[in-house]
Amino acid sequence: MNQRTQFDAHPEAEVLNGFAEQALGAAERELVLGHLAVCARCREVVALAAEAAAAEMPVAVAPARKAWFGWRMAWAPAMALAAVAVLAVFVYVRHRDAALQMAQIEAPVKPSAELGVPAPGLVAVAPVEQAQVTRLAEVKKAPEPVVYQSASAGMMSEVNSVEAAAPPPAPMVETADKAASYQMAEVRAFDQASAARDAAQAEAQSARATQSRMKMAAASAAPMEMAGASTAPAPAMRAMAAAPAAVRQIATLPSGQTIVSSASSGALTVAIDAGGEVFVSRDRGQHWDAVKQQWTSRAVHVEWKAAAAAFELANDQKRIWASTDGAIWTQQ
Amino acid sequence: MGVTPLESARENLADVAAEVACAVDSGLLGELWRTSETRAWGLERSEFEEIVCAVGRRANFGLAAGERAGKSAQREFYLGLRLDDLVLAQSCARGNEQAWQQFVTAHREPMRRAAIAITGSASRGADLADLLWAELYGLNERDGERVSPLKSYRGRGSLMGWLRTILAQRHVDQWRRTGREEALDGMDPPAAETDTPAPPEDTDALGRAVADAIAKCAAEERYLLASYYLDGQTLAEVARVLGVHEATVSRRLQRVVKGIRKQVVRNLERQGLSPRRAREALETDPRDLDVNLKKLLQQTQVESFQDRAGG
Repeated sequence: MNQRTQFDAHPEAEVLNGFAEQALGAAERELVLGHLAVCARCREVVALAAEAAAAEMPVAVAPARKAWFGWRMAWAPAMALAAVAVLAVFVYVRHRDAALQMAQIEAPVKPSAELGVPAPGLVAVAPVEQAQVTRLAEVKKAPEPVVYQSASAGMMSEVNSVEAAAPPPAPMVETADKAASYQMAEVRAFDQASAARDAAQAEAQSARATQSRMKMAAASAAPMEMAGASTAPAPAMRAMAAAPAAVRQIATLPSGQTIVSSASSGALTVAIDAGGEVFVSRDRGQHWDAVKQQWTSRAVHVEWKAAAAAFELANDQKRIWASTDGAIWTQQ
Repeated sequence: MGVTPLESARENLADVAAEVACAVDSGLLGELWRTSETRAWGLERSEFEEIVCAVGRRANFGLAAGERAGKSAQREFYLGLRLDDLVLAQSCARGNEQAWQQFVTAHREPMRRAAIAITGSASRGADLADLLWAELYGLNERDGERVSPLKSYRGRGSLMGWLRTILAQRHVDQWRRTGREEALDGMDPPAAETDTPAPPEDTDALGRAVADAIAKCAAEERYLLASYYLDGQTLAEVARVLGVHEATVSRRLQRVVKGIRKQVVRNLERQGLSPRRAREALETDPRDLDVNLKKLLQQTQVESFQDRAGG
């Protein structure tokens, strides 16, 4: 019937590429593997094409081990930082309450001894605040890659890891812009409170001889601390919780389910819905393609790792897969 | 004009037959059209549906030959397609200039880089890419119509990946043609004979045992063995093709080799060798396994891929 050429015996370029890009079904894949096992020509074709693809994206596969290592090791400093942050906030709140009580009740009598020696917690508060400022400065400098997180996941990341913190997706979500401005307001308020506190401490040290000056410092520092601590975090937290909701509204997945985790780099966005299905969008969330499952169990979290220039997907057993294009995932 | 009732009935029957053969859910087709409509490069909906149906039919929606695809299988198949790339390629093949400009803008440079990476030479890479460009534009004509290889792209995997694979195919085929006239350095030498042959009866038994053990390997296991031992690819190269980590390939290879060794010993025992003698048959000269493996994997495949794929 059809005249056969010498290459009819081989799979077409389409099929070989589909195999290399994990786009074939199980039956077809098995068929191609069977052919590759006995055909040196097609093995060479697939290997060369894969090599060219890797050359186009040098970080795609080569540093996979490093990325895996980085992922695991990232928990140690992140947990340490989280512990310091929690301790600092705890001590800060206690100290603020104490300072307020002193300002209201005992300020005229003996504030100098208390404020002259900074509480241990205050030493730790400064670096945490510095970290927040640095992080937000980075967001301003480099808006991409952007990582969307669900409300809970995003907030956990905020506490657990500076690296995993979710910078607000400025160009896409208006609410996220508000989140950024709230966060900046929070930082400014913290800065004011911090400056006032530092000023108060300096004043206290230098004015041990002059009791009257210390009274003024204590009286002015306390209300500013109150303003910074009580008003700023509330809208910031609300906005942080609202940002993923906005993403959910805008980015409707084909499955119709809500997004539980998503991450973006440039126009590329990967999202996981409530059913554990993974979708990828190449046009900033306007259109979504379902990603064939290449991981075990259920996908629960995805994030963009700038260091590896790859997305990392975690399943519910905390196993990690990496991808540069959101479509092909490699176990780490 | 002048269409007889019989011809008309035949045409209707052909339409019905095509529809039955395609049998793609109309709701799904509409959904696919809606996602591609804005970037359809002037394709009409009917043309789009015709392309999409043909793609699904040809691949039997990703199922094995003869299996019938239900709605969910069809949906899964179509959602896995690169519809944007498919529409762009088909529009280029149909001579849409705007689509062609977009194709050139997006793929010309990456294709040149891929060709250079594949050939390992800037000049040969540029030649390879230019030659393909001319073909893609449709300089070849058949029955007065431009023929572009882009028409054969069906959206399974990315368009750029497809172009890379075609470049690799051209390069390998060219190399294989000219390689015969060049030095023999790059050719796979025949399997070496063993220096200290085992007793003839044991060698025969070992040969049969190895052949049987390899025949029992799964397709992926035989691919691993061939890529790693026969082609000399690195773990990273094999891993890149399979889309797994190289540590995974290493583990699988170890498992395969271990499994083959066990199976060989079992086969030898089945052929009447005592367990001790069976183990000794392997230990006396382990290169026998390697040598036989090469010979077995080098066997030429007679049956064509298309025949087995049922395409």
